Amino acid sequence: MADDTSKKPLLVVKDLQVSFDTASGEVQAVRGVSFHVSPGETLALVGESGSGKSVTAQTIMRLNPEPPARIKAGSVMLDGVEVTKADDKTMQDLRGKTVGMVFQDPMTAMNPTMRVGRQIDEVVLEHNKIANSEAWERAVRIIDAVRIPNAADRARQYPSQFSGGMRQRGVIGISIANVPKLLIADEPTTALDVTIQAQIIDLLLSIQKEERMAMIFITHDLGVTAQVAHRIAVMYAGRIVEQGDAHTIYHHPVHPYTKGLLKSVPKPGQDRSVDLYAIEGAPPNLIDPPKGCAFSPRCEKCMRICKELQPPATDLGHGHVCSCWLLDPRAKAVADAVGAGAGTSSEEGGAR
Amino acid sequence: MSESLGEATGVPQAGAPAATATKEPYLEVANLKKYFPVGHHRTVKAVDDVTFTVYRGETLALVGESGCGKSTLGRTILGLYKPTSGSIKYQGKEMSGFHSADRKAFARKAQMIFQDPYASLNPRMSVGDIVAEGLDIHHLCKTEEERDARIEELLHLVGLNSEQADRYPSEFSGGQRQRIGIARALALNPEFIVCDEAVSALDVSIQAQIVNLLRRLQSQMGLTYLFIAHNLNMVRYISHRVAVMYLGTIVELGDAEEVFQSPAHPYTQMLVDVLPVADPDVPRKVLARESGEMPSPIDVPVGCPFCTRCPHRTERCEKERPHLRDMGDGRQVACHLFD
Repeated sequence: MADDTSKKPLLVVKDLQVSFDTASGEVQAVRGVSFHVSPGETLALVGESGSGKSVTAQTIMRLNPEPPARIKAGSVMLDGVEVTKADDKTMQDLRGKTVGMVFQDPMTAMNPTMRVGRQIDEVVLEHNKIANSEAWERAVRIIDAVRIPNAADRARQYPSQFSGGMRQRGVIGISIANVPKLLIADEPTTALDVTIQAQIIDLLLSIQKEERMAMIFITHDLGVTAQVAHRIAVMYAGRIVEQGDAHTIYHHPVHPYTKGLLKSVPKPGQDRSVDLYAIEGAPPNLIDPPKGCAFSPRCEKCMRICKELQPPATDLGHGHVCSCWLLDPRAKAVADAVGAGAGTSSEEGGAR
Repeated sequence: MSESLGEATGVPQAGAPAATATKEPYLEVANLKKYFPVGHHRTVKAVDDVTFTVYRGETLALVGESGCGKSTLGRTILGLYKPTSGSIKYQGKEMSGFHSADRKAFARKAQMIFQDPYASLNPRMSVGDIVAEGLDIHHLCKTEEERDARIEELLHLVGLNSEQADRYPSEFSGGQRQRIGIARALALNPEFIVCDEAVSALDVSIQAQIVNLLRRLQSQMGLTYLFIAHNLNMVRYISHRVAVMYLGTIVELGDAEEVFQSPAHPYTQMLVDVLPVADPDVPRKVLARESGEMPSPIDVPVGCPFCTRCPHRTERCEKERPHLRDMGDGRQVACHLFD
């Protein structure tokens, strides 16, 4: 799978920090996030609600209203443009042309008072100097490309005349109208039924392959992630705690949160006489995040240092990066002792 | 019952799904229909001729896509909707009359846990008042001390502490709110709980906590669950039996593990096929392009409801509706293929 991704990244996010200034204080939604995506590659941002995955994605398009959002630090290089410093005009050129976005809820992502074809050709006309009739023809072709039958008739209909799955196809049509280099899909199948979800994933993957788009796929569903992602970044409390290629993350996870998340999902043939593995507790409040590792209050292998200092990112080779104090050479003794005692560490062991 | 409540504060203990299930019929639903008029002389056939039995102590899962009628069925059984026709028997007694004494007796024994832990708790009531509302309505606590003690017991049972009784829902996270909703459902010592997508809105790490809690309560209190859900991996783990619904009808019913291992009905087959496996090394199954979508429950096909999407459809499927038929081993399938 990695073969069809070129080496030069299209998007490089470096130490991005985004906060929201609210009445109850500064919510540190994204607290230093770094990743990159190359053409033809799918990066999945995985995490629970409030982990900062959507805020990260929306910052790439500068869709968060500023204020209350504030980019505190870091850089987002998208196709040679520094997004964090770009003006409105530059951003407008980027949106819909270089980067397209598919949102979670197909019921609200479309304008209910506009014909579906018009919503697509609007995006085409915004970035191309062509005649209205030509743009409409292109919209019809796009509707056909996202596998909506009777495209010419459907283009003249309104979103309310579409079913949920068809609406999401329409939203995908809008987002790919100008063949963007980067497609951001924010929980694109979460609101859909499983059979429709499979159809939409098929569609997104085939479009991506044809056009060699880079894709950021945001989801909390570990099953969907496994099906779409080349690489995975696991987010927790505004940081990426672990990232690597899909096989590594699923089969050789290192971070206790990644491990816990994978274990807490029931698998076919799971022993039903035993309780599900559950990560106790809840994610921290990001108005006042913990001083050390944000996962430490829930971590079975928490050490003293975890509560005091943020763990540094450790490069484990082949793009596998993990931020955990257990990877520190000095932690090995502790990790072995705790891991053996708790009896929950998986085959790979917590530290190397 | 109060004894088991006292013990419940201890260490969570595992119970195999088979441990609590019996073969004693608890609820018998026969030919149940629930139609909603939607104007212009049209009706939505949300539940269309459904027959099944819930056994005491089991978890029966209702699965299906949105709009298949699973929530309507759960609510109709609880009496939140008046059935259009059909019968619901509670321990052998007919409950179709809404105001009968049997109905009231059942209402105290049957509770519901809702999907959205944000919308299902009154934000202006303290947690203690929310949990004790059923006790207050039925005048079950004679003194203030008794009431406080019961609230404390219930909060402990679901893993919260008694100091939290004076707080308000907004101070709690999603998982904690769902625990409050569960404590409220347990207040009247119910026998039967309808869990309507009770874990769907929760984060993955919290889902496992709540599922473990529900299983623990079942084995301690002998609860019977109707577990309405669309997450099939979770259903397979938590339930004894599963009923697959499509367009208001049950198309397949049987032992959960067996149904998922060897699905008989083409629709169940499709659901199992598209189920994403949490392993990138397992190749994705690509659906046939014409796998389609569920038709509107207003325009239900005359024949088999699934015939518009079925890869095995014949002329007979378009004309004649298949009925649930026993296949042996407690498996029932509504499909002409198995005639």
